[in-house]
Amino acid sequence: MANVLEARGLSREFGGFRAVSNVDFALKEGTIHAVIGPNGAGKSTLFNLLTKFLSPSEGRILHKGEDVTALRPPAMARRGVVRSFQISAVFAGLTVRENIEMALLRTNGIGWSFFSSIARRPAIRRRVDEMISRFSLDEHADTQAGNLSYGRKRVLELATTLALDPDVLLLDEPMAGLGHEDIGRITDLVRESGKGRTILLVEHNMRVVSDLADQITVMVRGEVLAEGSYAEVSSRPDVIAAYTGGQHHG
Amino acid sequence: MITIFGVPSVVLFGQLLLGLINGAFYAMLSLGLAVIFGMMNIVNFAHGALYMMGALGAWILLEYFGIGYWWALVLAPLGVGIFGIVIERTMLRPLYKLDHLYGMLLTFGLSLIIQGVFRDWFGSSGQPYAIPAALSGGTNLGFMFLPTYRAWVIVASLVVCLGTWFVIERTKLGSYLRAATENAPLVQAFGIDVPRMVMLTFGAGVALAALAGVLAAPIYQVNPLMGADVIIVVFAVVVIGGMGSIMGAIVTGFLVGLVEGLTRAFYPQGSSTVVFVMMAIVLLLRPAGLFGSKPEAAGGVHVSLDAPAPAFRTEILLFLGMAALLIIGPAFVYSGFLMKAMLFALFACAFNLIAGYGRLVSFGHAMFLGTAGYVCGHAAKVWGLTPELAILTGTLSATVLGVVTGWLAIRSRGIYFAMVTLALAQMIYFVALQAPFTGGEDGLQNIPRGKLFGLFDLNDHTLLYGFVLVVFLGGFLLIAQVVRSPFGQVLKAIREHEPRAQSLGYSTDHYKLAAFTLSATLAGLAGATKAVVLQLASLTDVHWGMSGEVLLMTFLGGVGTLYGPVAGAFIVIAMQNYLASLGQWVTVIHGAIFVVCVLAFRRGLVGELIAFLGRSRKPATPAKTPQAAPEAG
Amino acid sequence: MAEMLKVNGLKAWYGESQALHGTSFEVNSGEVVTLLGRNGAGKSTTLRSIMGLVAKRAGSIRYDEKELVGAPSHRIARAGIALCPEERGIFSSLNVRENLLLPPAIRPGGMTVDQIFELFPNLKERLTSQGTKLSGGEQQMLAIGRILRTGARLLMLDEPTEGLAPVIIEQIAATVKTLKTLGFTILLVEQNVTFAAGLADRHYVMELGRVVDEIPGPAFADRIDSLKTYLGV
Repeated sequence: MANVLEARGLSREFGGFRAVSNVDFALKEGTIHAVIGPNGAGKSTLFNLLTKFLSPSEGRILHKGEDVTALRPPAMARRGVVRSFQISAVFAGLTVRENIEMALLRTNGIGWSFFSSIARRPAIRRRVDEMISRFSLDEHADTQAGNLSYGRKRVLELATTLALDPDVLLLDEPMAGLGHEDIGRITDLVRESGKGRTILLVEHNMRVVSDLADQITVMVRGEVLAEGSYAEVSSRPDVIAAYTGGQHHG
Repeated sequence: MITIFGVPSVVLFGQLLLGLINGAFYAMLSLGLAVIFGMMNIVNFAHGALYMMGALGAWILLEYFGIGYWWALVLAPLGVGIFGIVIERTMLRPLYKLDHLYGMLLTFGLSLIIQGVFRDWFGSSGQPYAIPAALSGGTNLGFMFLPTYRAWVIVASLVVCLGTWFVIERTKLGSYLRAATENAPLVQAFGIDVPRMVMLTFGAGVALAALAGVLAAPIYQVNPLMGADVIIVVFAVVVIGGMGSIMGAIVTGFLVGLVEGLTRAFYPQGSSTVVFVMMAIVLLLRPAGLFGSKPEAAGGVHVSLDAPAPAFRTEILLFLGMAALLIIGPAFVYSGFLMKAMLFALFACAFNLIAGYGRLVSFGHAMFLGTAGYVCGHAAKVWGLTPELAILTGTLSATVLGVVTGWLAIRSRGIYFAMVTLALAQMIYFVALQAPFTGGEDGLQNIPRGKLFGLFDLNDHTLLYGFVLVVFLGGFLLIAQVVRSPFGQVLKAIREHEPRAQSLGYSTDHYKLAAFTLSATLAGLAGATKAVVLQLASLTDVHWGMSGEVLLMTFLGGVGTLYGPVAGAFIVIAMQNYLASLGQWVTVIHGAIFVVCVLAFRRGLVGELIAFLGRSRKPATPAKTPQAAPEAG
Repeated sequence: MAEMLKVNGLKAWYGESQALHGTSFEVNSGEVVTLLGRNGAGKSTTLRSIMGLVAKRAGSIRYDEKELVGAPSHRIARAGIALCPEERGIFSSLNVRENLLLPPAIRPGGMTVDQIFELFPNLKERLTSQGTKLSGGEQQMLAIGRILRTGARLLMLDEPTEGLAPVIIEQIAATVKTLKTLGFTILLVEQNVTFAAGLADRHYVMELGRVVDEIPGPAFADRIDSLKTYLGV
């Protein structure tokens, strides 16, 4: 399997504090890959570095073998690497339908159009309708996204992201702040959308991680502690120690 | 006589001294602004007006109570400080949780009120204030003559600035202030009464402005508008220095004063614009400012003011209704008023495109209105172009200006964007004041209206009215279409969540620049047409006061609504026409409207109406609360 | 033992979203009590609500017989409660000495600066450094140290071991034990179960904004499996 996204010697400092320190990391095509670790391990920083929302202090990032270290976030998205946000990111003042349309305006080349109307683009409409019903948002299609419940906002965010049909999907704590039922639903949605794509997720909820991930990277204090399948990783004493705070050396 | 690069040394040192004096005032004012901004996240637009209150306070104390300079140095800052505390408690406190722009809008309104009230009392001519006896006279230093009072001002301001720096950086009280600037809730959780500390800080910052005012009284003419222009320069100083550094504010203040002095010695025409040129260069090379650590403070809580757009059919009916009213309007109302109101409505709609839908609130939009007016007037009068070509030329000049200023300004957001646009507009104002083709204080008069397309004589009132109507309705339709278009949707999305828009692949800076340029172009169209209609292009249209008026119209009517700016423009122009006999009180009313809008109805008239209709039509469905919010971290 | 803090039916909201749905527990004078639970369970929110840092609260928080719901946070601090926040809250514009001396003494009986240096000798050598230039462990020591001076009797520590090396965690565990012997009452939020197990008299388990279980300290080992389910590990 080819590496879709790769970090080499990646580091990021904040005023003397190394949040991510010399991380080598590879995301293999077609896998669901989870980054886990205790709070403050540098997971979110790594995530922001990979999506170019932060610039690395050192190191390189490659997408399909090409160096993309200097690219800006929109350029990454245009290459098919699309992220979600930890605190649900919807366009609160737009309706659910308009939120999903946002994914399709650019890909259909009408983001810069001052005159054409979405109403006259049946292809876009169909795709939006399809996403809306696939994510069970039908009742809310014309609700302003800001008025949705938190769980639905997360669903909408995922729907918008998937409407772009990205090759690589990066999900930043997709379950944060959700209740049991929502977690189950979104886990299913993520699994389903993983078909034919590569997914990287940062997640705290171990049940979700064990359900979903083919490959796991454990980070502690800005460094990679372990890598492997859930079974491999979860049986390692140093990983358990990092989680429960016991002793480990190395 | 010794000359340096062709300038007599006496002149050079004289200008440097004057620069140092100006710099002393810039430093004291930007220091106060920095302290206030650090603690409260409020850009205190009223700082200039409070500086004026200090100077005028000293004059009143002397004139009416026989209290002299030395006591005034204490009493005026004390009085203004108490006034500031009252403002903080009654008006600013509710704003801390909102977007920082509201603080700037409210204090802008306050400065209009204060300046209007004082102008009504004292007129706008300057009042002399005598140098106190102990500080009169001067010393001949050999290379120049140094008046004692000027030396005193420099020493006093240095002592005040460094004293403030010492208190903030080296004392226990200062550590509370610095800590609260970083994380006020935590400082309060340690047992410190932060709200009271904020109140006293505002009082102290404002007292500092008043103290500067008293020091300035014997040097500059004391008049109610003395703070209005200086505050804009001080904003530029703040952008150059960068927020967040006390020493940075002091050093930049003196530095800018000296650069101004040098420019006045070597290239006098450039002295009033050099600050703004410096600002533009700093923005290009170091967007965070010379001493700034953070490019900008995080925005406050985002408040979505957007009302759901009405259905397409409703929109068409509304538009036809408005057009019909305007067609029959001249039968009932003076057509000159209607034309003026329509052109301002177009201006406000153009402003709303960027402020409401793009959430980039420009404080300098008058530069597009005014520049297009001048260029159009020049084209019609000097080049003899027909009106449609003259208007096209004027409009395109605004487009070009929009590209250049937008390119500079969109690097910053929120209040920085407001300050940068204000400063850039002030630069255009000074250019208009000095450039040979603008007619200076008189403006361009008797601009010929000419024949539209060589056929329709615009001196015919009916034709002229019809022409303005077409321009307004056309501009309005264009804006309505852009708002509904995919581009408009992207613009709104960027306003709601810029990083998310980037993560979907939109190069948000390009969209913002395009929207800004479009807004500038349409503002230019209004300005150019206005020059033809009124046969006049004057400094009023490039003045910051005009930028304030368009803000007022838009916020009063309803920012982010299609018809809000139109309603706002008609109300404001009607007030100016029918309340003209009130003199300065019109300004005071403008200011009061700002204050009321910010405090009580931030959606504006039309926005509140839409919200009311929306509520009464269907009962609000409250958002379901999630199981648990994510914890920090 | 005298009851010091009694939280009853505490609800808290961030904006429109409710984070606490009726949390109840109590802390007795001289105890070390932990709140356990996974991310998002409402542990930090509970501490922040007690401290008055969450704007919208309902229910009851009684401390020394005084009702604290509705009081501004500086009053709560002056009643004798101090918080060491999750993100540590070291001020970057203050040096170590200024950070240490920042919280004002609210009542007599706090530790002296010298006593604090005995607990955390590292701090003494770095007094003039910028606060945020310290290592993570030193910052945590500074964050704990500065609330020992004030005379507060109830210390609330929010994940003090987060992101720290094991050797530092040991030092912090030792510190918590010392503080207990000195008579401080401690309410601890932790994800690090091993750390919490060795220290606390009692544990409360939180889920979805409520306390769902109480585990006495001695029973901890027997209950470790059910606890793992709670924590999702």
